[in-house]
Amino acid sequence: MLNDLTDIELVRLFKEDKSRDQVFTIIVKRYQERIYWQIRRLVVSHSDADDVMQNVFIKAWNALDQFREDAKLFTWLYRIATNESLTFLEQAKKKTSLSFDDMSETLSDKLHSETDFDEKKAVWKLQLAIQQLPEKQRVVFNLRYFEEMPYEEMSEILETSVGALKASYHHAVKKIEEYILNH
Amino acid sequence: MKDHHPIQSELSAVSPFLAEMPKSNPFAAPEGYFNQFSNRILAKIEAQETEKEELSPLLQSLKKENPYSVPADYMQEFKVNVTPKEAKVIPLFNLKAVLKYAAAAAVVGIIATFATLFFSGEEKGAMAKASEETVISADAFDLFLSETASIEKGETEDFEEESQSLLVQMDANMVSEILTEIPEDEISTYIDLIKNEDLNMMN
Repeated sequence: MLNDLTDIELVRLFKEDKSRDQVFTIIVKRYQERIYWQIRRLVVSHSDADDVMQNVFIKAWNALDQFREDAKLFTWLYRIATNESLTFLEQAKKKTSLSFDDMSETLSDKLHSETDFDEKKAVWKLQLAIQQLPEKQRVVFNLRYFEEMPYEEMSEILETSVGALKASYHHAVKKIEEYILNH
Repeated sequence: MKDHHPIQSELSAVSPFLAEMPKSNPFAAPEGYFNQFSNRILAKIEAQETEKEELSPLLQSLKKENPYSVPADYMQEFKVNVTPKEAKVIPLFNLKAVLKYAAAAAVVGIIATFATLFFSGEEKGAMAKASEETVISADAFDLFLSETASIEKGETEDFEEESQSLLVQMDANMVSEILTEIPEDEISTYIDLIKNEDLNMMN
């Protein structure tokens, strides 16, 4: 029965302190896969993605009481996921004193260690090309290309203007095309 | 949420090559990961809540209670009134500032004038003194030059002769007078002393 409730209704129940665990389990189950793939494309390895996933949902639990009902729950979770992924990459860079180029290399290395990796396959070439992009461009490209998210929704998540997002996506597409054609 | 066609046509316009590529996901999550994730995350959250309870049950129970209150309808009626601030007018010509600088300049001028007058008076006195000295010095210099010139002209011998004759005159006339005034004992003592000194020098 709880499964049929809308996001707003679930949040309201959570705030009223009624069956919190059950309500939160439904929210997690509803969005976990999409959140996971968004994180996974950014941090590449599963173990890193799992760490970020846990942080995202713990933060969501702690902040759900303050969640405004006029916002979309999914957009809110996506924003937490994106910020957590970027923070994770930033911390990884600081820990190992890596520059942007070094970080791209590290992510490419992680791709190479994926069990099904095959450099000749277009899908992996595309992933390699994505890892060469700057972090913010990578986020925009993933949301637009894989999630097929409208710019307006992206604008809410990333707090960036639609025009800037369009420009960022177009730049990313051109860079990826160039990379694939030259490798 | 999905608005597939506009997104695909946008991609085709920017990069027909990329638009033709397959969009399949090459990554894989471990089997059963999504089935277990919600249980794992709830267990973690429970552990976190227990830790907070144990750390301070009082704070944990108080944290959701808000002691502050706002007037009724405050949030609905809240408005930010931004009234444009009048810009401060700064006059290009400020009489007060000009007078201040003029007074300072006058004081400096007065001090400079007095100082000039005082030091120039002192300087005049010093110059007069110096010129006097210069006159005396010039006279002495002229005398010196004339004497030197006579020496240069071969008068050195005459000068020496003149000096010798003066010494001879002094021997003859004056020495006998001086000696009569000195007791004989003192003269003999002096002669002995001279002799001893000569002997010491010879040794």
